[in-house]
Amino acid sequence: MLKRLLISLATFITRQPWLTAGLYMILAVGAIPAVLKIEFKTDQNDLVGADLEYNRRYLDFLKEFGDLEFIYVVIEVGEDQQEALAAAREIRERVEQLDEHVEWALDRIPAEAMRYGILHREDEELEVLAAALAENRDLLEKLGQADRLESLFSFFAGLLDPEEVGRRFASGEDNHIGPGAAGGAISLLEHSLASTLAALEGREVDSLTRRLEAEQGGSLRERGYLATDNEKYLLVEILPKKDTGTVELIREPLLEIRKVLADVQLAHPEVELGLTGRPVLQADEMMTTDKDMKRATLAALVGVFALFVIFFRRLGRPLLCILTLSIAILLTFALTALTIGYLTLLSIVFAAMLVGLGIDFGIHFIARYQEELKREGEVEAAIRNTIGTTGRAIVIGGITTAAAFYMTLFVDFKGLRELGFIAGSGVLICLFSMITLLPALIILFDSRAGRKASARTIRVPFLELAGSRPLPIITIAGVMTGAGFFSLAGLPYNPNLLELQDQELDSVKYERLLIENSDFSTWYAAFIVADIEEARRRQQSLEALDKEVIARTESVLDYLPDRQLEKLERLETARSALAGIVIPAAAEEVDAKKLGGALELLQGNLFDLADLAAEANEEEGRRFAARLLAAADLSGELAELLENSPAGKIARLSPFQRDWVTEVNGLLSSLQAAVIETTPISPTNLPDILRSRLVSRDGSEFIVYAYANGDLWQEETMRHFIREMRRIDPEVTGAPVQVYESAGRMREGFEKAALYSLGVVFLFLLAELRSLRLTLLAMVPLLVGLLWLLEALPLLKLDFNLANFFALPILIGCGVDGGVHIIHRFRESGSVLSVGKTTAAAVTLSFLTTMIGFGAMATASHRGVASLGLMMIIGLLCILAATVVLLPALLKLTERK
Amino acid sequence: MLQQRGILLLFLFFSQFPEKCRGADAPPSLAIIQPGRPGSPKAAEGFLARLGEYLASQTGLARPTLSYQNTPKEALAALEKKNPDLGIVSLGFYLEHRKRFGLKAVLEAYPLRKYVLVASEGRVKTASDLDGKLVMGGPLYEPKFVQRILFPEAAKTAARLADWQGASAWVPKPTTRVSSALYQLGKNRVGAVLLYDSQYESMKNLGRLKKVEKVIESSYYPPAVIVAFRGAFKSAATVSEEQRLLITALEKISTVKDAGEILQQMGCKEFRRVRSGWLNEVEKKYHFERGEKNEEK
Repeated sequence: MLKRLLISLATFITRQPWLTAGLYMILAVGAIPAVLKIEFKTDQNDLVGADLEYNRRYLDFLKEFGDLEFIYVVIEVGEDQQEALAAAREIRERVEQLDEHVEWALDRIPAEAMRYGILHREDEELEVLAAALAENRDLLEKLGQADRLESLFSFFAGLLDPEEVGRRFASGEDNHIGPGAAGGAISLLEHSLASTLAALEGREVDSLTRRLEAEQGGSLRERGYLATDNEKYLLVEILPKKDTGTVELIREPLLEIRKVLADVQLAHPEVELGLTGRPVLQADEMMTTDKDMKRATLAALVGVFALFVIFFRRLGRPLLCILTLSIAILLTFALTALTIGYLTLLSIVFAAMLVGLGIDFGIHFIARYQEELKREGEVEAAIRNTIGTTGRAIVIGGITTAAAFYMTLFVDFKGLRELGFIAGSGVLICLFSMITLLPALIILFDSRAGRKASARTIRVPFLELAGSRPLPIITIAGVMTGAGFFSLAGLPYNPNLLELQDQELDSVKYERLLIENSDFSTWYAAFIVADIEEARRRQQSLEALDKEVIARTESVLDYLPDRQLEKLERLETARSALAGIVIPAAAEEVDAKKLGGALELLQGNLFDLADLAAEANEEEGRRFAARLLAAADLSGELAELLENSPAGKIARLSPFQRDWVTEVNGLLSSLQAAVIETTPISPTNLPDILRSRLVSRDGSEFIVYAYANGDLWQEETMRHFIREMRRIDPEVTGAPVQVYESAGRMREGFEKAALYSLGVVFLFLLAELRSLRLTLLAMVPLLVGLLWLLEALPLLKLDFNLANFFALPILIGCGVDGGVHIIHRFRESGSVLSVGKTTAAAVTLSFLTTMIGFGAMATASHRGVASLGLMMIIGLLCILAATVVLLPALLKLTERK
Repeated sequence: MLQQRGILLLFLFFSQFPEKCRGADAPPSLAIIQPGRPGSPKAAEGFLARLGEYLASQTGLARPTLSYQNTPKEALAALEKKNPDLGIVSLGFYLEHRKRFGLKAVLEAYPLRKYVLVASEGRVKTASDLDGKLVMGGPLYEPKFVQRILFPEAAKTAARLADWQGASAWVPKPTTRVSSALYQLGKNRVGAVLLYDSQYESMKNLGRLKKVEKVIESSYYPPAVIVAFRGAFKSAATVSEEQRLLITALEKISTVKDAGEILQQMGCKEFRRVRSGWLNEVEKKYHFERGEKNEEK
């Protein structure tokens, strides 16, 4: 029936080449609008079915809380912590300005956002604080009243009156209020003096808040910074705005953030910094693979053309073949748009696959056509013969390949199912185009040449020998196969996705740095809870786990102090004392004489206080004295400079005075507000930046984060982490769950697809060839070739991984073609010699083009892509050898029988 | 998680201390008079409270009435109103006023200390470089002590400076403000600064003497002596039990563990019985230097 169908088809094409070509052109033009509408889903979650329980939970999580996948700027702290902190701050400030690309950036929890942590203090501390604030209302009021520099310095002169301070030091009644505590006030004074001097000298002045922040004691984490526990790395957490219109999702944000990083790096050359986090790793991966694929495609095109020229000694027919292929791919795009409606990160590769597979149909067709043309000397007859003979093999091979791809429809991985459907359909479209459009184009092209249309038969002389020496070949192949059997036991599989990436990428390096040198993980499991109590229970369960599993947890509870009402009551005295303080606006005009007078008074007091402190034997007292003396010197220097400065120079102080005093008063007023506030901190009044990370958009649910300890890229660590998380709550979600489940399903999907494909190929060939012997022979190259590949892997020290696993269904799909063609030719001619003369050469050429297509990928920077390329080259080489050497040898034995 | 401490420390600095006062009937009294020492009576309140607690706990008496003065003028004004039972005074003050108030030295503070004159590097090469120049410092509240005891014409240590003729040609400017004096020295507003050696060491440790050099230094003297005021020790019968207990408590203060801080704040490590022979020599030298026979007013 197929034969009759093909003959009818050949008749139609040879009679109506224009109509055939025209129909395709109409179809191609008609496909364009559909193709333009095709959607591109770049989210990895789209690869997994929304009906799967774990994916549904994750999608719900994204819906409720937003896409909380963070980019991390990693800053190596090194010896100069202040420099690293400054770099972190600059990055955060500049990234925050990238409104268009970034939701927010965070380098530390702002102190004022958490009311300076007052309610997080112990009762004793609160009592001391409340008493101190209440008893010193007058001093605070004086500070609050400072509306210009002179009043600020006069305030300090009063505050540092040696008589009063000396009395406190000498009394020693309470050790925690001494020079150490006074450091806070001295800091403010020092910064005020140094900044005033800088402003007067026209130098840049840093903000007070930054200066004070830089001086805070305690660990970086205690000070609210995002940092690793060992303080080796500071982090800036960035939530990018994803653009689903780009493959990388965050292409523009990433480019902009990297520009910021480059600028900050220039300003802080001694600070090492880089980017990592899942979105960056994914985007980098996409960019790397994109670059790799473009380079590989170009190399493949050049290589395929070179092969065409070598084999066919002309360009016209191969060009027609490529035109046909292009139209077929366009039609496949249109079919995808009309059926699935979108492409995913996985299914986008179908075009590249079709280039490799589809061109093969053309090669077989043209090879046979040239042979027929040489024999018949007439284009139409040659076409008819080709369609009737090789056309049949092409159809069988193509349908077999398509069937192999369609087998993915039965696996439990949506992304692979979609790819299988598109690739299978694409193969059928290519196949049909190659036996309809290509012949029509050849007729139109070669008819113009008239009798001059000529061709030479492609031949690879060495291949003709395979059929003449069957026994040595079969013996060698048997020995080789048997010897390699031992290596099958150690078939390696490496599930580490990070190792698939280009190891030179910054994002990969910094991910590794964090894993190897800190407890900080960019991976977290998310537990969704309905109320605070549930969050508490969940967090307690997590914290009871082995520290090797969880590095840290985070939830809204970390920001909600306990016993708030009781603590707020303890602050009552301070509250009433501070409530009445009215903080004025800063003045602009500067009275140099008054300012100088205030500074001289201050200097005298500082000297006297230093004398007192210097008498102390304790190191702390001496350090304090040294600071006082330095401040006194600065006061003197400033007073002298003021006295000797012209009015123009003094005018520089006006804007500085306004900004500085505003900042000092702002500090006081925010502290005042923090103390006066009587409402307890609750999820509803948390700062937005925390709320958006911890509370669902509608406020009804909360996240408990569990940050992993260890390297989750390692399968065993990941498995253990997921197991422990599920022990606490089987409904846990988050990126680790997604990756763990998806990777498992993907691997399983590839394995199943490979097995199903082999099965369907066998059944299809059996049905078509109606001979178990021929079917088995047709499958020998594929089975033996795959076996050789598996045997070769350990010897070549190659691992299976999630990228090159993909090679198995492709190898099955395209590997079977060679055997089908050889068997068909053999059955058609009954002679191994004819097989060796042209068919084996065409098979070799088609394999070589596929190898070139995939082989170019072997040079990719992305290790996954490179390993896929390498796997394909080795696999195709093995199957090719089995097809053109072993199979003819086996056929020769059959022929003798 | 949040420990936002730093900024709040600023405000802790403002804390005040409630004074603990303990009433008593007719308590003994003790005056501390150390002219030229930094600080002020108000600044010394805490220290006095501590010393009072110590003495009360050691003697079982009511807490003594304590006072502190660091300028002779204020000290004399206070003494005019009422003499205390005991005094901790500088050696210069004792020498100057021992006859006026009938002072009897009982204990002296240890370790002994030197006095150091410093000037800007290279500015004082001979003694005459200081003639008519302002010299600042705490010891100059007692200029005669400086001229007659610390740096007399015949002082061996001072004579190492070429053309040494004594300290009488200086223009003394007494001050309790050491850092300020050194600042003035740095600005070349004064010729030299006279420091107690403890001040010299602490300022050196603070890096304030980088462009300053030691010009001359004195021999060793006790930084303070404990004295009984007029009549207290004229005869055994006049010595009250309370006074004896106070002197004993001060004498053994270095052996009491918790009292170390009091001694530290006084700039010494212990009090020992006074060396009467040595003190007689000093007294003679003080009164009869340059032919003066009677310094009593």
